[in-house]
Amino acid sequence: MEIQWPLVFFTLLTGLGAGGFAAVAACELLGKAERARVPGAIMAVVAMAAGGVASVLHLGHPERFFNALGHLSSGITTEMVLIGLTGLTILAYLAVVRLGYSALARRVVAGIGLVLAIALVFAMGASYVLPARPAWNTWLLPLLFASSAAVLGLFAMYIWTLAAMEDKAAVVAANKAACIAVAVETLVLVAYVIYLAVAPFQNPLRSAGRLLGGDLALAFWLGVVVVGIIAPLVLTGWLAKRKAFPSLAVPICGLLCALVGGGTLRALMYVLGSSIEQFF
Amino acid sequence: MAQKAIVIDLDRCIGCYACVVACKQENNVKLGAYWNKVLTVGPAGKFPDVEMYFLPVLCQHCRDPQCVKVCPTGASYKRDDGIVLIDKSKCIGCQYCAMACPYGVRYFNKDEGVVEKCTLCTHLIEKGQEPACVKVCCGKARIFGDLDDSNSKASQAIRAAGANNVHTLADVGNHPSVHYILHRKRATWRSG
Repeated sequence: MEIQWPLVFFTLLTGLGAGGFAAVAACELLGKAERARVPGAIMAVVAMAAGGVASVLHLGHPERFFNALGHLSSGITTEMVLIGLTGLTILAYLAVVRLGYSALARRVVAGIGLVLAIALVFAMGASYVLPARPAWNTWLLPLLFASSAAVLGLFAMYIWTLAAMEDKAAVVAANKAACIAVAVETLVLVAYVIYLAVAPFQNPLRSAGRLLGGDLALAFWLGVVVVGIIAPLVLTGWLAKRKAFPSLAVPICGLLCALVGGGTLRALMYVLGSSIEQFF
Repeated sequence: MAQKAIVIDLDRCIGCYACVVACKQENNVKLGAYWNKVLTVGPAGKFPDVEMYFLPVLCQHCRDPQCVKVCPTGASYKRDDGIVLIDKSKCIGCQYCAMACPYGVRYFNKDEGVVEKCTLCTHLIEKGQEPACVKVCCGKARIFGDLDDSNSKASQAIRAAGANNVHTLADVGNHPSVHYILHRKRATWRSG
C-alpha cells in the first residue's frame, strides 16, 4: 500500500516520546541520572504531542477526531487512550518533581508511566497486526515497534545524561543501554525478515526477496541497516570505547540515525503491507 | 439473523462489465473509483488446454467483518440483514478499515474524506428491488438473496451447484458472504 507518511511520523515521534519517558522512569526507579530526568520528560511529552498532531494529519475528517474514542476494542481507540494516559502521567511526573513531592511519589508516578509507555509502544505495533495484511500479521511487529522506541528513547536519554553533566558512570550506562537496545532491535529485525520469507499468502510484492534484493533493497540496506543499525552500533560501541568521555555529538548522531532508520523501516512496512488480494 | 449476499455464477459471466457500469451509475461512483470490478483470471494452462474466467469482485459483506471490528468510530457497521455499511457522518477517514480488508475493496474518497464501498444497493433493496448489478446482468450470473434462508434464490443456486463447485475468496476468519459458482469442467478456481 502507499506509504502513510503522517502515520510514519506519528509512530516514530510517539515511539520517541514513550521510549524517552520509559527511560526517564527507569532512571527514576533506579535512582540514576537525576538531572537528566526533567529535560528527558519534557522532550518525551513534546515528542508525543508532535506525534499526535502528525496522526491527525492522516485523517480525512480531523474535526471528528474524538469520534475515534467510540469503539474501545479498536486498535486506534486503544492507542488514543494510551497516548492520553501516558501524556497525562508525564505531566503529572513533571508536576510531582516541580512541587517537590517525596521520592516515593515520584517513583509511583514514574512506575505507572513506565507501564503505560511500554503498553503504548506495543499497542502501536499491535494495531497493524491484521490477518488481511500477511506482512503485518505477526507479533514480531509490535516487538519491532517496541525495540525501535527503546532505541529512540535511550539515545534521547543519553543526550540528556551528557548535556546535564551527569557523572561518568551514568554516561557509560546510558551508552551501554543504547547499544544493547540497538542489538535487540537488530535481532527482532532479523526475525521479522525471516517471518516475511515464510509468511502465508506469499506474494512478490511483500516478499523478503523484494526487501533484501529487489527494488526496496537500497532503502533497506542503506536506510535501515547502515544508518539505522550499523551507525548507532559504531557510535555506541567502537567510538565510545575510544573516548573516555564521549562528546554530545555521539548520542545526537545516534538519535538522528535511529530516527532515519526507524522512519525508513516504517515506510518499508507500508510498502510491504499489501492485502491478501488487492483487487481495487 | 439474516445474511443478504450475492451469489455469482462464473459459468454464466461473460465479462461484459455491465455490472461495473450499472454500479457506478446507480451509486454515482467517482471517475477512477470502483465499488465493483470484473477481473480476468487466466488464461492458464497450455494450448489447447487453456482456461480462463471472469471474476467480479466487490465488498464481500463478510459474516465476521474485520473492517467493522477495527473501525474506531463505529462508522463501519453490520446490519441485522448482514449487509456491511459505512455511516459517512461518523467516518473520520482513518482508513483503518481499508487496511483490515483482505481484498482491498474499500476505496478512500479524498473529496469527501471518507471511505466508501459497495452497499449492495440498500436503497434499492429497501424498495423491494435488487441491487443494480444484479438487475443489469445480462448473463443472469448474479443472484441476490438471503443465505440464511434456505428457500432464497441465492441459497438454492448454491445448493444446486454442489459444494465442490461453490467457492469464496481467501478466508482469514472474516467468512466472506459472496459465493462464486465455478464448475471444474469450465475452469479451475484460482482465486481463493
